[in-house]
Amino acid sequence: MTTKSWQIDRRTLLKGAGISLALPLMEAMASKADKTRIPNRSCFMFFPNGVSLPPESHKAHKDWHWFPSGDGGDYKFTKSLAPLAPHRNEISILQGLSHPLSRKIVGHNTADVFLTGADISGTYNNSISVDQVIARETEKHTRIPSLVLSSDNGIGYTARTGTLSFNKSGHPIPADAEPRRIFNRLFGTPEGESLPDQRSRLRNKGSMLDYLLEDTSKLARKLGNYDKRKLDEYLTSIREVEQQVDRTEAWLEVAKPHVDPMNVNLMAGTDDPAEFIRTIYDLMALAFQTDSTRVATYQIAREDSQGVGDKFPQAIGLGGHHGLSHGTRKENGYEKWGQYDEFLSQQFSYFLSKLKSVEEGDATLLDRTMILYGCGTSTTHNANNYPIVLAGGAKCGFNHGAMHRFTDETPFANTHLTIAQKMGLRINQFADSTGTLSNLIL
Amino acid sequence: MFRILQLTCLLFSVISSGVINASDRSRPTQTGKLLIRFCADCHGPDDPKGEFNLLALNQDIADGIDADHWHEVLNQLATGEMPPEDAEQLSDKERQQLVTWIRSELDIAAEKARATGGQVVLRRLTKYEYQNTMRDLIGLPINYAKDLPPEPKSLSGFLNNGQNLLMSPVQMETYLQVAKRALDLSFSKPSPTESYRYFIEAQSERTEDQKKQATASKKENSDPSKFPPKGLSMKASRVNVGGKDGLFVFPLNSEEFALRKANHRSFDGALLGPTYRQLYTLDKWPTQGEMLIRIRLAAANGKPHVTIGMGYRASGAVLNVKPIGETLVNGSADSPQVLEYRIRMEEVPVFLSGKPKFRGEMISVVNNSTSSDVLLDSIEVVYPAPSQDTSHPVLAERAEGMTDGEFAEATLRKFVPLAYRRPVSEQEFHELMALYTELQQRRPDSMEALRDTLAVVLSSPHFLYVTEPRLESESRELNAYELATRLSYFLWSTTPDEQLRQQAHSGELLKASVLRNETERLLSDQRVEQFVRNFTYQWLDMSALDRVAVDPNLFKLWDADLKRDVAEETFSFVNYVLQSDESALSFLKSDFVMLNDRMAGFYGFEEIQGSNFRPVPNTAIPIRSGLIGQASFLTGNSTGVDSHPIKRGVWITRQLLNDPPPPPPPNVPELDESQLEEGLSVAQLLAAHRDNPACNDCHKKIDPWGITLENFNAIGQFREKDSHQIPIAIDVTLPNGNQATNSVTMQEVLLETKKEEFSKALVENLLTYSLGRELEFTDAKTVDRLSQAFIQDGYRLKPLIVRIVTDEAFRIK
Repeated sequence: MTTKSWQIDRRTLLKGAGISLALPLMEAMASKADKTRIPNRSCFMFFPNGVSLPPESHKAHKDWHWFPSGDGGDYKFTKSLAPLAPHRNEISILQGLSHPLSRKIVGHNTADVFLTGADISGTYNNSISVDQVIARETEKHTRIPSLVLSSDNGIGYTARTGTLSFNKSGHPIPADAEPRRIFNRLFGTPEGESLPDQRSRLRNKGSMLDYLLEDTSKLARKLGNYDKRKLDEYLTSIREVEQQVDRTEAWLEVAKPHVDPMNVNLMAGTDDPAEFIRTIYDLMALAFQTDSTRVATYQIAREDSQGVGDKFPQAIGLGGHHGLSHGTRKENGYEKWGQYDEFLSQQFSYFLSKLKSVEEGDATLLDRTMILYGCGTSTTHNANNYPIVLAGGAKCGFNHGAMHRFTDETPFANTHLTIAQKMGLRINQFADSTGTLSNLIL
Repeated sequence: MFRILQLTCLLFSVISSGVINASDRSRPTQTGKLLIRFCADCHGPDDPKGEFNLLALNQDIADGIDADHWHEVLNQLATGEMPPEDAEQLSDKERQQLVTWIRSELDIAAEKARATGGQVVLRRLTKYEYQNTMRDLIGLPINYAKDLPPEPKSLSGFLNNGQNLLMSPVQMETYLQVAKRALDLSFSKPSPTESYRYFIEAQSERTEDQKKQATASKKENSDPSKFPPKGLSMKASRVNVGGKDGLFVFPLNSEEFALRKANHRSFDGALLGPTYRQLYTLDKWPTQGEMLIRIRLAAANGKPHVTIGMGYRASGAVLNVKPIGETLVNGSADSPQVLEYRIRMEEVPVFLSGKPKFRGEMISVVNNSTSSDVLLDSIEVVYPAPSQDTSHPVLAERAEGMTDGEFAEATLRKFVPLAYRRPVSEQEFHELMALYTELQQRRPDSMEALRDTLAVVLSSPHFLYVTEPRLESESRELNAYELATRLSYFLWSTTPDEQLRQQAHSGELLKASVLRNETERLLSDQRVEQFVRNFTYQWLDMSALDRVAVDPNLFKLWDADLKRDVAEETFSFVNYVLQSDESALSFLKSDFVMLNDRMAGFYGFEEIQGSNFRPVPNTAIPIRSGLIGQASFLTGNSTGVDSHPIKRGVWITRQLLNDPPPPPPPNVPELDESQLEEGLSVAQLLAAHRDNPACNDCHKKIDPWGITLENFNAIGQFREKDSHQIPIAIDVTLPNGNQATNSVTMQEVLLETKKEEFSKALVENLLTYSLGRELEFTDAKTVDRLSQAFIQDGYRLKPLIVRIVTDEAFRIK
C-alpha cells in the first residue's frame, strides 16, 4: 500500500500539529475564557440510505445485520460494525431512536432534520441544529465557531440537504468539502504580511461591508415585502461576514497553530472515498487537537443519490449507494449493502483511533470528544429505529460499552440534549427532547 | 388535526364557516355538500389519499390562501380525473356546477392576488449568469464562479428561481474574493524580466508515421474495453508525435523566431488522428502574466472538435491539463483556421517543481472526433503577449495630469453603470468616492483602494441581484433598463450588450416593435446558445446525467467523451428546432436525429464524419426520434445498471407534459425484485405493483409510458432482451386508453393525443424560466393565451419567445 494519511504515526502527528505551540497562545486569550481546563468537543456524522438489516430468517442476518446481536454489554458485532471492535469500551450502540416528528416523512429528507429535530412534513420550516446551539456557547473560545463539512460542498437542495448544520433562522449553512480550503481556514497564514498590514486590511474590509450594509438598507426601503425578505438574507450574510471580520481581528495577535500540511493529504478527492473520508476526519481531529474549534459536523453523503457520495460504494466494487439500499432482493443484496456499512465503519474506526492517539493531560482527545455517528433511516425509506453509534467523551461523563434499546417514547433529541449539556450548555431542552439519556452518563 | 369522532360535525362546521358563509357573496350551498359527498371519503382528514385533505384547505377560495390547491381541485374535476372511475360519479350537471363555482371563486382570488403575489422576486444572478456577467464586464476568460455553491433547484426544476436563490455568509465572502482577485489580474501589468518566443512547426517528416498511427487508431477505437487510466478522463491514453510528453521545444530569440516564421511551409504538418492528443513541452515558461498562443490548424476531413489545454504531467499516469479553449475545426488546408488564446498563467496549472522526470509546462491539442483527422500546422507562443490597442475593460483612460482620485472617479463613472445595468445617481458616485477615500487613507495604495471599491460594486445587491424596486401596493411596468436586463438574462444569460443598452438608454426598447426586433436579434445571435443550454438543461433535468452512476463494468463504452456528446446531442436538437423554425412537436416525435461521428457510432448508424452535430433522417434508426429516443434522457433516467421504467415514465409526465405525479408516499413497498429471477419481466412486476391500490393511483399514470422504453438499456442502447435475458415484448395500455407496443408507437400516441398538453407544458416551462419564478394560478390566462398562439404559429419556438417577451407578464414587476 502507498503511504496514506492515516499511516502517519502518532509522533509525527503530535510534532506536526504543534500542540505545544497552541497552548501558550490560548493562554494569551485567557481574558476570554478559562483555558487551563481541557475543553470538551463534539462532532456529528451522518450517512444516508439506512443500513443493511436482513431479517432473521435471511442467511445474511448473522453477518450483515448492522445492529449487533445480544444485548447490553454482551452484544456481539456482526461484520457491519466489526471494525469498531477495538473501541468497544469507548462506544455505545443505540437502537430504536428516531425523531418523533419525522417518523412519517419520506426517508429521503432525514438529513435535513437529523440535528434539528424540526417538523418539515408540512411546509419546510427547519430550525437550528444542535451543533450551532453548542457553537453559540463555545465559539467565544475558539478561532472558528464551528466546522461544517460534507463530501459535496454547499447546501444541496431543500429537503435534500447537503449540510447537517442550520443557523438560528433554520437556514442551511454551506458545508465545505475541499481539504485544502479547510486546512487553510484552520492553519493557513497569509504570507509575509505584517500585523499592522493585516489589521488595516481587515479594517478596510470592515469599511467595505459597512458600505454594503448601508447601501442595501437604502435599497430595502424601496422594496415590497417579497423582495425585502430576499434582501434580508443578503443583509444577514453581510452582518455575519462583519462578525467574522471582527472575530479575525480579535484573533489577529494570536498566531494560527502550526500544522505541517504534509501531514494531511490535501489532494484527497472523492474518487478515492476511503482516502477522502479519512482526510476529512484528519482535519476534524486536527481542528479539535489545536482547539481551533470545538464542534463539527460532517455529512458523509447526501440522501438523494445525486451527490458524489452515492458513488462511494462503486470505488470498492459495489453499485451506487441508493441502488444498494434498494437491492436487497438481488443476489447478495444484503451482503453488498453490509459491505458498504462495513466500509463506513472502517473509516469511522480510523477516526476514533486517531483521536485516541492524541494525548491530552491525563487522557486522550477521544475522551474529550463526544461523537454522534449514524443515519436518519433504518432502511431506505423508513425513518424509524435510526442506526446510531455514540462514541468518545469518557472524560465528559459518558459511560460506554453497551448496546441500548429504546422505544418510541424516547425522542432522538434526547441524545442531542445530552451532548449539549455535556458541552457545558445550561439548557434543559433541545427540539422535542424529554430528558437526557441517563443510562449513558455517569 | 382532526379526531375521527369529531369528523362529521367538523366537516359541517368547516363548510358552514368557509364555503358557505365566508363572505357576503352568495354561492350555492350545494357545492359544499357536493364536495363532501363526492370527495371527502378519500380526501377527508382521515388518512387522505395522495396526502390531500380537501377539508383542511381554506374554504374561502377567493381569499386566495389555498388557491393553488383549489386550482388543482379544479383541474382534477374539470378533466374528469376525479372522482376516480371506481367511485360514485358526479352527474354532468353537478360537475359543471362545481367547476363553475370554483373557477369563478379563483378568478376573484386571482384578481386580488395580482396586486401582491405573482411578482418576480428580487432574483440573484445564478452561478452561470454570474460567470457570464463577470466575464463580459472584466474581460478575462477565467472561471469566476468555481467557488460558489451549487444552486438549489426550484419546485419545477429551474435554477433561476428568485425565491430559491439563497445568500449565505460564505457566498458573500466568495463574491468579494472573486471580484478582488479578478480585478487584480485585470489591473496587473505584468512587467516580466524575461520573454519567450516559440515557433513550433508540426513535424512534417513524421507525416507518414502519423498516417499509419491514424489507421491503427481506428481499429483500436472499436475496442470498447479500452478504458483510459485514472485521471485521464479525456483519451489522453493515445498520443501523437513525441511520445507521452510530446515534443520538447526550445525558445527562440526574435531573429530566429522571425526567420522560422518566414520560412515556414504551410501544411507540411502533423496529422492528429481521431481521439489523439498532441503535446508540446516548453523548455521555459512563465508563472504569471499573459501569454499569447496562436494555433494554426485545419480539418483533413469532416469537422473535428478540438480541445486546447495547458498544464503539466503531475505523475506518470496523471496529466494536470486544463482546457483553455475548444472549437469545431472548419478550416481546410487551403484556408486554415487560426485559434488565438490569451492565457493568464495564474489561471492554468503551472509546472513548478524541477523534477527532471517531468520536464515542464505543456500545450495540449486533443482531437475529440472519432472519425476526422486534424492537420496541425504550427503553434506560436509569445510571452509577454503583445498589448492590444483596445481600451481597458474596467479602468478609465488615464489622462495626463490626472490625480489618483480623479482617475478613480473616472473609472467608477465608466464601470458602475455597466455593473448595475442602469444609470447611477450622483449621490451614489459621491458615496462610492467617499468609500474609496476612506480605504485609501487607511492603506495608501490607490489602485488597491480602487480595486476594493470596485469589489464592493461587484458584491452589491445592485449587481448581484436583478433589482426592480417596487413597493407592495403598486404593480408597475418595467423601465427600459430593467426590460433590457430581463431580456438579456433570458436569452443570453448575461448582462445587456452595447446595442441593447443603447435601446434602453434612448427608451426605444419600450416600443413593442423595437422590443420585438431586439428579441429577434438576440435570438439569431450566437450568444443565444446560452439560452439553449441553460434552458434545456433545466427543463429536461439533464443534471440526471451527472447523477446517475453508470456501471463501468457493464458499460465499458461509457466514458467522459461519450457522456459529453450524449448531452450535446440534446442541446443541438433543441438548438436546431429553435434556429430552423421546426415545429416543436419534433420534441415528441421527429423524422430526424442529430448526429456526429461518435453518436452515429453509438446508435449504430452508418459512419459519418466530423464532431459537428447535424440533422440526419432517422429512417434507418426510427427509434431515435424526438427527445425520448435520445440517450441523454434514457441514461439519466436509468439506474446506471438497468432501465428504470418508473423514472422514465415520471420524466415524460413531468418534463414533457408538466403533469408530475405526487412524490411517493413514505414506507413505499419496494418492488419484489426476487420475482425477476422467477422469470417475470419488469413490466409484469410493475403490473403486480399496480395491483396494489395504494400504488395504482399514481403508477397507472406513470409506468405505461416507461414500459414502452424497455428496449433501451441503462445507457440508451437498443436491446432485444432485458438484463435477465427475457425477450422484451411490450403491449401496454397508455393512461389515455391507447395501446403501444414500442417507443415509436408510444410517441405516435403522444403526438396524436397530447399535443395540447405538451404545448401548454412547454409554454409553462419557458415562461417559468423567462420570469425566474414559479407560475401561479394567476398566470393561467397568460399560459392559455400563449399556448393558443403557439399552436396557431405552428409550434415554432421563436415566435413563442417573442410573444413571451412582449407579453404583459414579462413586462411588469
